[in-house]
Amino acid sequence: MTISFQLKKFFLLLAVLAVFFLMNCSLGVPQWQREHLSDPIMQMDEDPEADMMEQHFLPYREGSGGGYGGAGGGCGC
Amino acid sequence: MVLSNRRIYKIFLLSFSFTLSLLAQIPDDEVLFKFQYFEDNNGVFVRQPMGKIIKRLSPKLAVNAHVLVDGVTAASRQVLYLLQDTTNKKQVQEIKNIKDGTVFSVDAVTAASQKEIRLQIGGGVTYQQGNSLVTLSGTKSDENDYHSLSTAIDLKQDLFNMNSNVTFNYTRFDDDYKPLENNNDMGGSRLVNSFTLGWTQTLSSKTLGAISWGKNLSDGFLGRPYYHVLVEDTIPAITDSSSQGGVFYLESYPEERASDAIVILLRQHFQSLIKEASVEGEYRRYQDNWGLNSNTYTAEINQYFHKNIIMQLRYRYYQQVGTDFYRDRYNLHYVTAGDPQFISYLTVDPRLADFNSKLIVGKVIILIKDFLKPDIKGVFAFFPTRFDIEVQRYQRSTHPDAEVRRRRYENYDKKGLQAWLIRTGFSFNF
Repeated sequence: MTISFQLKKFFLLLAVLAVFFLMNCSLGVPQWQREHLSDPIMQMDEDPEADMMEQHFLPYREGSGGGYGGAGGGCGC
Repeated sequence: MVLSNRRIYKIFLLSFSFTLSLLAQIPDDEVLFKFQYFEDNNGVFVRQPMGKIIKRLSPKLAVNAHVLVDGVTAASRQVLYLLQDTTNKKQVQEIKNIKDGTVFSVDAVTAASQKEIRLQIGGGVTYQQGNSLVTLSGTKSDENDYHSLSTAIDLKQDLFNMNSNVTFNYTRFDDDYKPLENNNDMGGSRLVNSFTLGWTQTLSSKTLGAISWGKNLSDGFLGRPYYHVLVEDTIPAITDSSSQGGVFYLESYPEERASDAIVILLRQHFQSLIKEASVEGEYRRYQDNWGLNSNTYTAEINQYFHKNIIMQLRYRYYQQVGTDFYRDRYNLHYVTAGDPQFISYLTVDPRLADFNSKLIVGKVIILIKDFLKPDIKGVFAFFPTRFDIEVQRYQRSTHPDAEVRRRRYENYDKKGLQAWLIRTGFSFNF
């Protein structure tokens, strides 16, 4: 699937605007309404060490990396 | 260890407890162990044990250290094919190197070890000041032909009454990739500067969103010193996988690479027919100045089956358009200066080709400590706090014709690269 560069920029801008729009809608979620957010199943990284190992495995099988922060060095390939 | 921004997210989310008034939170004392086994149909086996300890020295200061070992078997398999071709006296005349536009012969080739051990050690210090968290960390990785030293700084700051969180990560990698007994100007050093800026946001009482942008700037030797490209004398049929006469060239790559990646994700809490659950959708866009770009789509669901047992299912689809200079097969046109088809770089690295991949993950997490009643927790002081096990199935596929051509360099069949990964771990709080 080939998407033009302008279209990609448009989707990106749309996504950013959507995120900021939603942020503005609910910037005031008080702490006493965050019960569900504190649940372990809502943790975006419930196992950071596993993520670190995975971020080492995938970039050595694919051509792109980054966007998730540093993941340690070395080859292991 | 290097803390990813996802780890910062975790610290951020852990602070959403009713009992905690601060967003930033120093992690608890913990010892954890992991073991990972990887196997693919290209003959690669990896056994990877890991241990880590986190110790809180004061309410505002914590330190951590980790050690990780990679036991890799049958790496750099292509060297075997090269030697095999030479042994079989096929029409391989010599091995050449092309660098900075100059072609010169190589006297000998050092074979990569078929069994390698990689040792990684790392440590870090985390300091909390108010609602800010700063972490300094370093990681050192050594194997027989590859040495890496990385240093990182992570910053985190909460905003808007702890509804928003900004993270920044900078990591510098100093790598040295040199074949043993090398006298052929193979390999070299590389410097990678990695920047990641992230924003996490509560969107409702059941919804979280995050966006991050990462930039990598790489400089130096960015290729693979052991790998070679067969530049064929003739131009065979596109689906012909048999070895042709020609000359082997060392792979050559640009010495600079700049890439950008953007990640957007949403996570929603909901009540399923069984128990509480969450679903996450993630999109990642990557592009660099080698002409490579990719789209990654990930969906994940976490489902309680018991108040202490969580089942996680994840599906990841990855689609890549390869670099401008990658070719499945090379002929003399590509290395003849002035020819309209001449290209400056040579590589048969399948990671730089057009392909797509799928990753399916099943994981079970058992929060053991919560099974134990408070009055007997002392008895089980050394009982694991948490246990998890996951199985991953990875499949990388390309156009069938490309696979036929590439099989001369890799060992996998028409199905493409397929891999199994099993990972398990347990942790203790002390």
